[in-house]
Amino acid sequence: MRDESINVWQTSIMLFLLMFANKILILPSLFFNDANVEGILCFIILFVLEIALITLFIFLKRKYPTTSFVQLIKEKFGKITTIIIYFLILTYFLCKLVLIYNVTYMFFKDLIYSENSSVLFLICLLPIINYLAFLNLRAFGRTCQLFFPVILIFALFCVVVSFIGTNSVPLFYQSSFSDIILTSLKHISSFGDAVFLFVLMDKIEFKKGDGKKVFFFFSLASIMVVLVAVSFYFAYTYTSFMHPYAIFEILGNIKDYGGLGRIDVIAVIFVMFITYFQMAIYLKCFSVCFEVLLPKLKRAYSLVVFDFLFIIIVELILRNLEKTITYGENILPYFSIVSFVIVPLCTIFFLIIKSNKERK
Amino acid sequence: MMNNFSKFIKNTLKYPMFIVFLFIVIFYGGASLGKDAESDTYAIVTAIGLDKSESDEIELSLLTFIPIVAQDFKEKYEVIKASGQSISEAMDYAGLYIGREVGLSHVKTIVLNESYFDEDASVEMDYLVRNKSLALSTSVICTDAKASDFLQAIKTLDSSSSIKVDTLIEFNNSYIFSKESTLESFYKGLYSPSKASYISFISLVGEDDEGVGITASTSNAGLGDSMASGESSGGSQDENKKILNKGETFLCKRGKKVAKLSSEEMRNLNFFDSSFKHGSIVIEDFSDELFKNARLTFELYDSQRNIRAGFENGIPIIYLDLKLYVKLSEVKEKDLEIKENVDFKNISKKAINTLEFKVKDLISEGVNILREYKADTIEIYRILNNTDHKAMKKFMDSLEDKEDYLNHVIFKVSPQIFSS
Repeated sequence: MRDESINVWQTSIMLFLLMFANKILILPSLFFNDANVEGILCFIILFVLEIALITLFIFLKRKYPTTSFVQLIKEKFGKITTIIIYFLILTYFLCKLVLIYNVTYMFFKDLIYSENSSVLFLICLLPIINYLAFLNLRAFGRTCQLFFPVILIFALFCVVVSFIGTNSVPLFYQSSFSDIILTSLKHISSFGDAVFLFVLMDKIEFKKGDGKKVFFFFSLASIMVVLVAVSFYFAYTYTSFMHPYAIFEILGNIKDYGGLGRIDVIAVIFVMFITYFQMAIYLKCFSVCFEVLLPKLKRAYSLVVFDFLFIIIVELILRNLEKTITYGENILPYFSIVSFVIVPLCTIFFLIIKSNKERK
Repeated sequence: MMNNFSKFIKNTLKYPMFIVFLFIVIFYGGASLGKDAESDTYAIVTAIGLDKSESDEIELSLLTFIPIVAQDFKEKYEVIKASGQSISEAMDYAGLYIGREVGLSHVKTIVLNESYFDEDASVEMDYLVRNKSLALSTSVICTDAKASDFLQAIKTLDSSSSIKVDTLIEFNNSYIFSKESTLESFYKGLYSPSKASYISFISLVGEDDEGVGITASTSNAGLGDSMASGESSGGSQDENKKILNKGETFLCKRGKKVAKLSSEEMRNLNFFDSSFKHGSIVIEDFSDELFKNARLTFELYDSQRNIRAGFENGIPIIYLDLKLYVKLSEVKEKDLEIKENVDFKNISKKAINTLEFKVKDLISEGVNILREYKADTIEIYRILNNTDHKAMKKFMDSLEDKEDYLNHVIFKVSPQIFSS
């Protein structure tokens, strides 16, 4: 039990890393395509939903500090419902992993490694994320902690420097409220990452007042994501939709106009670092869900099953950016029901039933 | 010794990541060593030229860097020509002719024949924007000569001097007489509310023509041409041409040329922009206590501007507060005798006032150009809309011709001149 637990710092760092997942590469451009500059509001709306999810988790964790989410559901909804819910959560993580991988792969392929096949990417990526997921959670948390200062410096550098190239102002008030809401719903699958907290709930050591730390890291990451989007829209204004990879493009803009050399390489390193950790966290969650569904099988089996399914989806279904965007916009939002509906509803029902019982 | 080694190997193999690292190094490192050099598989293109044939085919010219082992620092370039129904097809043919893949990631300049701007040029430029190897910061030039001839001129220039055409355009933004011209700036204008953008115009003139230019040979005898199945560029043999950047600019609306602006007209429009660093204003026939019927040239060395917007009774008003820092750089006066060391810092109040009136007139002329062509390149729509969206919407709804909004906007310009 000791090895499988992480402290609140490590949890907050993982949350920080996941808050960047899919949000600083193609998302600003897609938001602009559908909602113009008001795409910034889409970020804010979806981060508010994320805050609601985190608040719910903190509330649940305070009430039941040592109980796992699976125990809570099993207690109130029975074994079969638990299996269905965990199967859905497992599918959700698999789908998110596929999206993150595809977006990152397309980013590297389009900009640097146009000649390399996805086999090389899979060889470079799968063993490492498999290994990180196979590690006990404490060791993984420490690895995140070790790399966090480097990642934070890169992230801060990208955000601060990106404002150097912004010498123009975009056109505001071009999208209606319904445009903003529809765009937010269309890309809701890029959010809801805080659901990992529920899956790892029993493994997180949580003391009184620790919620502030979680919120601090969440706020830091979300502010940075919004700042990246703001600087991107201010740098490219009307042509923002023509630049698919925001964080790379804004540093590229400085290279072109600010004469700072090839600093876009920093964006590449930053994306590479966070992708490894994001995918490893999701895979860890996939593995935990797998163990709930098939408790007799060892952890290694979950990784083998994941690798098998992942390669099939990635290699056979999603081979280019267009398909990836279609997948992210049209298919994956339905899976977001898991993070924004099923998990919160289960939690709320459980809390209401419990509090009613306590009153009686 | 052997024991220690086997212990080391055993310990190392305990780390799965080390095995992954070894795998990648052995397989991909080995494969990389066996690969051809990129310069052997790719033709490094530094400039693209596009012409239209009489049969409406695309005539593509590629200024290609040919790596040759040499002791000097000279770079060898060749112009490769190919044609096709689309740019993609012409690119494929060009690759076929030189026996390499066409690599566009080093392209710095795109040269388009002016005929492209008779229609919406963005339709023809679609390939260039979609191509991920091409940066949107690539300079775009329009020319009256054939683009292939222009590339021949660049070729000589690149091979024989340190002057590069892309840097020639890069500095356009530094001068008040011209404007930045890249794929990005063109599309930014195209997607703006008034769909107006600029494209730099550079002409290819004869050696004896007036104006300052860079002499470059447009000789047609080259490796690329012979590979291009004898497709003639129509250019002259060994003729010396000058590449002349006078600051002339195409004003485009929806990607189509509506006017060719002179450098003076561009100066008038650039007072709304803060990016220029160099420029000058001339006052003719000026008299005061220091000068008599003199021509004074003032050099601009700094400027600050503040553009505000407001609505009065539903009428949009633009306030331009302009601070120009100038120094008197040249005086032309008949019978001028320099009797003492003239301190140019003491420019009279009359000269300052004259200069302020002159600037007002120039700005007014600039605004009139934009009104005439309904081309809002100074983003007045954006400024008004961001200031008061509701009032702007009401104002736009009240217009019969919504594109003609500039004619209904009042400009209040307050130039302030500071001399040193």
